[in-house]
Amino acid sequence: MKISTDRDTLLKPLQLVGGVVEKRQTLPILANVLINTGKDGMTLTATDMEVEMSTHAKVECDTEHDLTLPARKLLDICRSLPEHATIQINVEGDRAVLRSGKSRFTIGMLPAQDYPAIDPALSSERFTLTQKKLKHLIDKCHFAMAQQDVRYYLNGMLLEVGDGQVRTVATDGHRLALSETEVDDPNGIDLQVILPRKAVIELSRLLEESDNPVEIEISSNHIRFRMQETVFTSKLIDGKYPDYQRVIPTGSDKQVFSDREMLRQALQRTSILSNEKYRGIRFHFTSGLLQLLAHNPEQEEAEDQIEIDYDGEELIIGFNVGYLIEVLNVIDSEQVCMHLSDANNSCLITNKDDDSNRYVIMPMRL
Amino acid sequence: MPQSMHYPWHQENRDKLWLTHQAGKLPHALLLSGARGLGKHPFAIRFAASLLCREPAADGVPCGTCQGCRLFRAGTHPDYRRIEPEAPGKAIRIDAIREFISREGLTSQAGRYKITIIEPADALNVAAANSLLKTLEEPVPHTLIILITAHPGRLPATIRSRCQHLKFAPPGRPQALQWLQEQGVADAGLLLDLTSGAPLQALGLADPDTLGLRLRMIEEFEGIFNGGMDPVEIAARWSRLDQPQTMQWLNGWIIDLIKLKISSGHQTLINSDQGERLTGLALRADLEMLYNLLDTVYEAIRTLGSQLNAQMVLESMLLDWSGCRQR
Repeated sequence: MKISTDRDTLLKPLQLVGGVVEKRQTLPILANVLINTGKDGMTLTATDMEVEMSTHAKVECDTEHDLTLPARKLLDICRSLPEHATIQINVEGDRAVLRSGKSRFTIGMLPAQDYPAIDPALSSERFTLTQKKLKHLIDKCHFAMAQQDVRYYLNGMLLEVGDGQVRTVATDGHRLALSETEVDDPNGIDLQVILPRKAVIELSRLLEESDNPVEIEISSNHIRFRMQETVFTSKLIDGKYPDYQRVIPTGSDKQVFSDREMLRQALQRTSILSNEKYRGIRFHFTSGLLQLLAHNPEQEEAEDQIEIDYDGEELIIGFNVGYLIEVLNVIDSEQVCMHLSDANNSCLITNKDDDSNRYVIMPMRL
Repeated sequence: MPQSMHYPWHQENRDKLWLTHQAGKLPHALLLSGARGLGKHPFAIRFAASLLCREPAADGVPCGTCQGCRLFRAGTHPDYRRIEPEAPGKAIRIDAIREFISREGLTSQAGRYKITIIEPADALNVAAANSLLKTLEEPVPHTLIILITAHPGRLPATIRSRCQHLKFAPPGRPQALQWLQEQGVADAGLLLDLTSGAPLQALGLADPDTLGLRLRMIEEFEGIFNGGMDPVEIAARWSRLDQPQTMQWLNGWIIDLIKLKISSGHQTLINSDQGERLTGLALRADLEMLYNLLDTVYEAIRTLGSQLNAQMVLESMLLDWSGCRQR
């Protein structure tokens, strides 16, 4: 078996799948990358048993063959070769020999049939989105996912499809983020799956701001994202997501409009003297004016005032400022709208004139 | 699967468990307990292989050729994991359990069971055991956690009460003898006596070197009693040997001495080949001191694998032994 290519053709796909290979693996074979060669090139696959990344490289191969090679070493070798160097990989017995110019590397292999790749023939439901839309869905809400919560189903992001809409939801029990958009090919799918945290982070890195399609396939155990050359597969969280609809306040009678950037900066300033652990800030809404007040255990105090568009009753309410800043960071519009009712009820934050992204933050008792 | 994994005395437990599985009533946590050398570990592995096989036979024998079987054999099956101490005799730490819990909520890769074997379960330290409780009580569907231990009493009651208990008893003597003879073991009867009927442990001892070492050790044991040998020097030597085994020898000798002290006759001795030597020792030993020594040995067995210095434990034990002579 012989593979001929040049350094740059090999380097990019290797870097892509190499990101999935964990530094500390429990099983030696997980340090390897699975290579399936065929007439039109080869497929590289890496997994950490939670997510799997697979990509295609247009190289010349003489036969169909499956092998695994140590990912890290292969990547380091390719990286250290000069640019545009030609590379030849020959398989000889249980070793692979990589030649480039006057360099020669003999690399150990592990049997390809022992590689725990995900069986491809399992997907049942599928729909399509553009990369941009999917990236948007993820980036607008992934920050609200829980981390190492005993409620394991919160350590991930809900992906819900129904009524021609696709929706992502993340919550850690204190705040919630929701983002929705239309599916490009609505064909009566109705489902809910929870993506593990790791897959969400990996996907957000992988997706680009492009109009290229992503084909999403969902089976009972896996979700698979097909892009042009790359296929990303992840296990799912095997649990039931809480009924998030009940958390989103509907009866809010007070609407506060504010300039997003102005509010963000004021919060940022005030947060400096808030309690480092609880990060509570007092919001005092009066007609046309928002007063912010923070103090910490050292008796230090920060006060700020900004103008807002509000003409309702006076309201005093406390929030964790960290949660608010994170929300303001991902909202695109210039104006934000806070929907409030009283000091004991959650606040809903949306764009001024579009509610495809909704954020709910629970108040704090100060 | 290798033929050696089919131990005839597992048949009953195996059939029972497989039927439970086919009835869809498999518990999410199993506790396998029983003395060392009864094959609890191979039993668990075999059962895991059956569950992960795509087309097991009607009685649960894995096909050995499907992808599940292939990956399992290669040790790379994504739905199977083992949790064990980092080094033998050390504790299983909370990090290992946390790592397990963080992935436990995920779906299985092959769409079948996700199996985790925790062995030895009594090596879980307190923090690790406590952090396991929540998951052990209510794992996601299609999870099977198998805990294996020779000392179920050492597990916290909170762990035990969350598992279905499957006990392993030594096989009947004829069955064990027959099996050992099939493995080409000579002194099968003696070896079974020495290991309280645990066939795999007996097989492990069926090695002239091990038995020769035991003979030398019992000579030294006698020598200490007679005053001809230095307990401290012998303790230093023994502390370099396999400690669980050494303790088991000592335990057996002392139990035999007590038995001989109470009634004569060699029939029921553990060390059936050493009847005369032990009778000679028993005649001159003090019964109460033997009982005290037995307590010390039990205590030492309990603390095996802990921080205690093996040499010092042995020293104090052998010094006690040298003082067991009747005044």
